[in-house]
Order: sequence, then C-alpha cells, then structure tokens
Amino acid sequence: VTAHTDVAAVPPMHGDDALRERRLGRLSALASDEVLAATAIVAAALTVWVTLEADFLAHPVVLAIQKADFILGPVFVGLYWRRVRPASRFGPVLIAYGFVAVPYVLQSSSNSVLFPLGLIWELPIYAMTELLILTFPTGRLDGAAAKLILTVGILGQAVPVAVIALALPQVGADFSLSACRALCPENGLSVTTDVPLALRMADAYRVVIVAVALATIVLLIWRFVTGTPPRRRALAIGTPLGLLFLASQFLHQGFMLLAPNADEPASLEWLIAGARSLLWYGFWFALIAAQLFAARALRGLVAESLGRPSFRELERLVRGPLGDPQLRLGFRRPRSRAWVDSDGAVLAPPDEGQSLTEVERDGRPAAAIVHDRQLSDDPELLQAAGAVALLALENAELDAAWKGSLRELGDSRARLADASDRERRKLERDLHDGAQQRLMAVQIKLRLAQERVEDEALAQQLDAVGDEAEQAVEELRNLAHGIYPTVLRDYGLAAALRAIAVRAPIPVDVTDERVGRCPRSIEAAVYFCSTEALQNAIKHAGDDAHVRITVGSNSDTVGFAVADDGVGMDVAAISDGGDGLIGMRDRIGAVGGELTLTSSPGAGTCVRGTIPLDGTRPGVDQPEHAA
Amino acid sequence: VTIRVVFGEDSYIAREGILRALEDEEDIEVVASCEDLDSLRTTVGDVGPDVVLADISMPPDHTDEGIRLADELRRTHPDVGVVILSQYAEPVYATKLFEAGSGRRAYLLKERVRYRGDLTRALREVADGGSVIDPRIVELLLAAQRRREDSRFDTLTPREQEILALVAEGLSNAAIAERIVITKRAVERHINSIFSKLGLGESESFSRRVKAALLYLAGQAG
Repeated sequence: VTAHTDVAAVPPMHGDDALRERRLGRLSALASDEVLAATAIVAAALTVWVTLEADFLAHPVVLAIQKADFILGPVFVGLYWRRVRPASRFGPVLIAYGFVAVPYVLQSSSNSVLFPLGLIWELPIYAMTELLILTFPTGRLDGAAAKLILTVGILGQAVPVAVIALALPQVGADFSLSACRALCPENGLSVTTDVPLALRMADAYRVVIVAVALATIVLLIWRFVTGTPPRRRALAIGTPLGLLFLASQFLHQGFMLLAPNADEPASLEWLIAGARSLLWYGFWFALIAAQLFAARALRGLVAESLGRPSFRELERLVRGPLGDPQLRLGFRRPRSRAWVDSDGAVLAPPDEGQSLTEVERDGRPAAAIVHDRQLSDDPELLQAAGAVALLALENAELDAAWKGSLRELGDSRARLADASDRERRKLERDLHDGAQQRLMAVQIKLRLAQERVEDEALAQQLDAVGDEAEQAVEELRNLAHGIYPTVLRDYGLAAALRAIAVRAPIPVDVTDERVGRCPRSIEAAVYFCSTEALQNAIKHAGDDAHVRITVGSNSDTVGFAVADDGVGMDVAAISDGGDGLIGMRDRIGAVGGELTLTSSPGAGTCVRGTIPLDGTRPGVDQPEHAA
Repeated sequence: VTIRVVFGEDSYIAREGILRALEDEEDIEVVASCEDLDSLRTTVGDVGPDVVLADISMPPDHTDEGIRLADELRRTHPDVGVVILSQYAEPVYATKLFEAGSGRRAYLLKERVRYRGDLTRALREVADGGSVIDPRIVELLLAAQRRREDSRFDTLTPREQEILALVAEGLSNAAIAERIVITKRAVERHINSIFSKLGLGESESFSRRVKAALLYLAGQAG
C-alpha cells in the first residue's frame, strides 16, 4: 500500500514544484544517506578540532559543541525526515542547513581573511534559520508573506554586514558565546576605518532582525490559527523552540538598539544560542509525533472498519483523525477509469486548496482521497486513511464476489427445482389426459358389453375386468398425485396438505395460518418438504403419534412446521442427512429458505422451514391463477 | 320429462365413451358437446340446459375449469344444475364445488361411468335440485374422521356414521332407507340425532344438510 500525491490534479503552480521536487530527488539520490552522514561527521569532527585548537576564543569547548551540532543536528534530523517522508522537501532543507553551517568554522580561524569571512557567514546561517522556521513542516516557502520576510531579512542584513566588514579594522562576534578572549583576529577585508558608519549599519541590521523576528512570530501564529488540526499539531510541537529563538532575538536586538551602551544580560544571549541549536530537534519531535498519531489513527480506523462500514460511513470515519471535514473518498469501478464517490457519482475534482491523493494497489490506483492540501505534508495520516479505504474496498469486493456467486448458485438451484416441477406437472397431466381417460373409455365399453352379454359367467368375468380397471385407475391416480398434486396447483398449500392429511394412516391436523397463494416454486418446495416430513413421522413417530402441520405466511416469509408427538430421536445421530433431511434442505435451499429439525427421544420431532418472499429470484413465478 | 344436458369434455375418447353411455337413457338428452370452458359457457347461455355435465379440467388451463364454471353459473344461471366428472379423488374439489351452495351440484369420479345408474342418478338428482358426492370422497373423509380423536364424531354410533356418509353423498331419506333397509322414519330419527350430536343445527333443507355433512367430514365445519 502506497500513497502518493497526485500532482496532475493540483493547479499548475504546483507543476513547477513537481519539477523542482524531481530535481531535488535526483540530487538526494546522488547524495545517499551514508555519504551525507559520513561527510557531516567528518566536517563536524574537523570543526571541533579547529575550534578547540583556536587560542583566541573565550569559550572554545561550548563553541565546538555548538558548531558540531549545527552540522550534525540538521543533517541527521534531515536524513531521518527524508527517510520517513521521502516526498517532503523539508528533509533536504534540513540537510542543506547542516552543510551550510560547515564554513561557520572559519570563525575559529585566526587568519585575518578567513575569520571575518566566518563572521560574514552568519548571514547565510541566519537566512537558513529563517528558512527552516518559515518552511516547517512542508519545506516550501508558502505565501507571499513568508517570501517577503525572507527577502527583507537577507537583503536587510547583507548590506550592513558588508559595509561593516569593509569599514572596521577589527570585527568581533556579536554574541558572547563567540566572543574572543582578548582581541579578535584582524579584519583583513577592511578598506577603511569609519566607526560611526559601522555603528549606524549595526543599528540598521538590528532593526531588520527585530522586524523579521516579529513578522515571523506573527506569521507562525496566523498559520497555527488557520491550520488544519494535523498542521496545528505539527506547529505546536515543531515551532516553540523557533518561537523562543525569535523572541529572544527580538529582545536581544531590541535591547541593543534602545540601550547600546548598557550591559546586556548574558542569559539572553545564551538563550538565543541555545534555542537556535535545538531548533531541529523540535522538528524531529514533530515528525515522531505525527507518526505516533498516524499509527493511533490507523488502529482506530481499522477497529472501526471491522464493522464493515459503507463507503459513506468510511468517509466519515476517516475525516475525524485527519481533521479534514471536507475530505472525500473515491473508488475506481472495475474497468472504469473514472473515480466514483461514496454516493456512486463521479468524484468531483479537488476544490481550491485541496489535493487528490491516489492509493495504489498492485501498482494501480485503486482509491483516491480528496483532502485539504495541508494534509499532503502529513503523509503518514494519508497513508493510514488510504490503507483503511483500500481494506474497505477489498472487503466490499470480496463481499460482492461471494454474494454474486451465492446468488448464481441460488439461481441455478432454483432453476433446477423449477425445471423438475415443470416436468412433474407435465407428467401428471399426461397421465390424466392419456392413460386415465383411456381407462375410463375401457370401463364404459366394458359396461356396454356387459349389458349385452347373455352368458352369466362371461358377465362375471367382464365385471372382474372392470374391477381391475378401476383398481388401475386408482393406482394411476395415486401415482399421478405422487408426481404432482393438482390440488397444490389449483388451491395452494393448505388444501394440498389437507389432501395428504386425509389419506395419512395416522391423525394429521393441518392448520392454515393464512398462507394463501405463494409463488409456485415456494409452494412446491414447502409441499414436498412437508410430505417428506410427514412420511418420516408416519414411519418413525409410532402408531399413537399425532402430526400437526402448520403453514402460514406474512409479507416477508412463508413458514411451515411439521410436528409430531411421537417417540422422537437423537438429532445428532441423523444430522448427517438421514431420512431425506438433505433432500428437504436442498429443496428449501433452492428457494432461498432454511430448514431446521428439532427432536429428542420421547419429545417428538419437528421440522420447521422458512422461505423469504423476496420475489427477486428468477424462476419464481406467480401461481397460475394469479393472472 | 327429458333432462337437457350440455356436455363439456376435451378428451375425445372420454367424450365418445360417455356419449355412448348416455345414448340409451330415454329421459336424458345431450343437446350439445363442447371441448373448452369458453365454448361451454357460451353454449350454456345459448341453449339453456337443465344440467351441465362437465369434466373438471378443460382448456384453456386444464385446472379446475369445471368448478369455476359451476361457480359462475350459480350467479348467472341459478336453475342450471352442474355435474362435475373428475379424475381427482380429492375432497377439496367437492367442497369447493359446494362452497357457494350444494343445491343442483354433483361431484362424481370418472370411474362411476362403469355403472349405468351412478351417472344418470346424479344427472337426475341435480336436475331435481339435489346434490351428489362420490362415495369414494365421502369414504376418504370418513376414514380420516375415524382416525382422529374427534370426541363429537366418536359419539356417533356405527349406524349413525354410516348414515352421515350417505347424507354426505347426497342420498335422500327414502334412498337411505332403501339402501340400509330401515324405515324412512327411522332414517329421520337417526339424522336428527346425528345433527344434534355434531352440533350442525337443523337439517330442514335437503341441500343444506348435504353441504353441512360434507363440510363436517372435511373438517371445515364451524
């Protein structure tokens, strides 16, 4: 089961994204996890070594740890991110951050050109930090506000930093953490000495930092307020450290602006450095939380989908944990390329701000989720929802398949039973119309002959022949009745069962609970099962037994029961199908009904059957009189 | 007086046989023969016979056309009698035939044609307003009644049971008296006793008592 974002379904603006994404993908494929990790570790080790070796730094150990963390932290969190969310661009952004932080080590150089370059390198670091905060969790710089903030931040600092680097013979780190023990190395880049200009420039970039920090805080809060629940969850876990960093930056630079000569509390500077060093771990936690949440959501969805929800119910189930009330599910009909929604209509294309994610099965799209675009950056949840949708789809397909074969089987049984009934009716008619009529003619001719015969002995012989002919008529009649009872055809179940009861050698009561007329195939099935059960009662229930046959129907079912008060039997011993039980079950099963047999020694036997009157089964025709 | 009969029977063999059997009867005249329900119905309307002698099943459906026709005639031609000749020894057809009243109705099994008297007696009884049920049907019902533990039926003496069967067959008091060789008054006494024991009410009308007796035996009496 895989889920991927269907880019074709989203507006063209995202087409460029796709292109870029593919380019990034190729890049990251070249730089495998192992190569990147090894490179980062080597770079970090070098950084630590160089920093510890530098003799002019005030806090070489702390600085070494920090600079190593600036490489290893984002690279490893980025690698993990890329592994969990291969489609997300945030992983590559994090990895890029780590490698951008490598030249930072120049600050540990006492070389008069390299050291100021290391200081100038604060600018790319700053830009990348802003980029991380602004693009979390998507890796995309979404919205004009974010782009503006980043542009202002970069340009607003590039100019002052460049001027300062050119205008001061000696530049030092702004932070106490990077402070030099006594004097920082000389600035080999300076071309002149203009302290007032440098101070104005410093003020300028402080203003920019304060403004950018404030704007970023506002933007993050706005995103939180307007985000989907999964997006809010990600922001709530991933950005507090970023907010802390921005807030402390805001305070620090604001303080420097308002009181440039006062002693700034050192704790604020440490706070800035600390918060910035931990930034990526906040993102890491957010990713872990998303996975945990998706796992929990999946568990809940699977548990709920065990109740075989309809597609519409499933859609509702999925909406909850995904926090997207507009979410829609689509399914693909066999041999159709169009998506179908839970109502069976063609799935409407995604609205503004929505995306369509396809869920594949065996490499082919089998289900689709139309969802809030923000959810694309929570692929674990989408995958969970997709898996559940697929599960439900497969269940439905299996259901449909076995119901289909069951229906086919039932139809074929019904057709067989119907064909057999038809044959029986025809045979019965043939007997009556052919043999019986001819026997009657024989009897009439015998009588006429008898009347003309003078010879007494011959007359008696003719009489004996007449008796035999009459017996033949009787036997033929019983045979015909056994083949197909005309009473069943003409007057229905109750009358046909009474006709049987009249001839039974033991007392049989027939109770008619308004069975009326039923479809012919059902009448035939009930009749043959009842007579079979009655035969069993006559054979096994004992001479003193009474039998009660009850037939009845309501709007939904036809029911019958043949109960005796005879010796009964052990049901377990005959449930293998003795005494025509299999035949009865088959007969009732052919019309979609069920048969039960209850009995115990000394407590009589009862055969009971119910047949649904759904009227949908082909071959179930109306009684002949209905027309 | 000649009894004018319209005959309905779709089997050629049976039709020819019965026509020959009735040929010799001086007081019975078969005025028309039909082979299906529709023509029989039309002919009855055209000819206005005393009695319709009809096979129970005919075209178009070969089911119980004879009985359905009898039912129609009860409304359209109440004075026309109907004798049903049936191959079915099923009490239900007889009770269906009597459902709308047993007067001028007879249900005979086809093997009765073996005896000259049975068919002609039925035709005459029906023309006379009476009812006839084939003894085989009554016998079946009586046997079933005897198997049951019906307290009322058990209170009848064997002779009364015999007389009940004859009543159900449609025999008149005189005919019963002659059949079992007792006086007509004794028959009347027996019948009164039977009807009061079975709770069948008064038996003043002849045709009603046949129906009551038949329905009682068929187990459908109130």
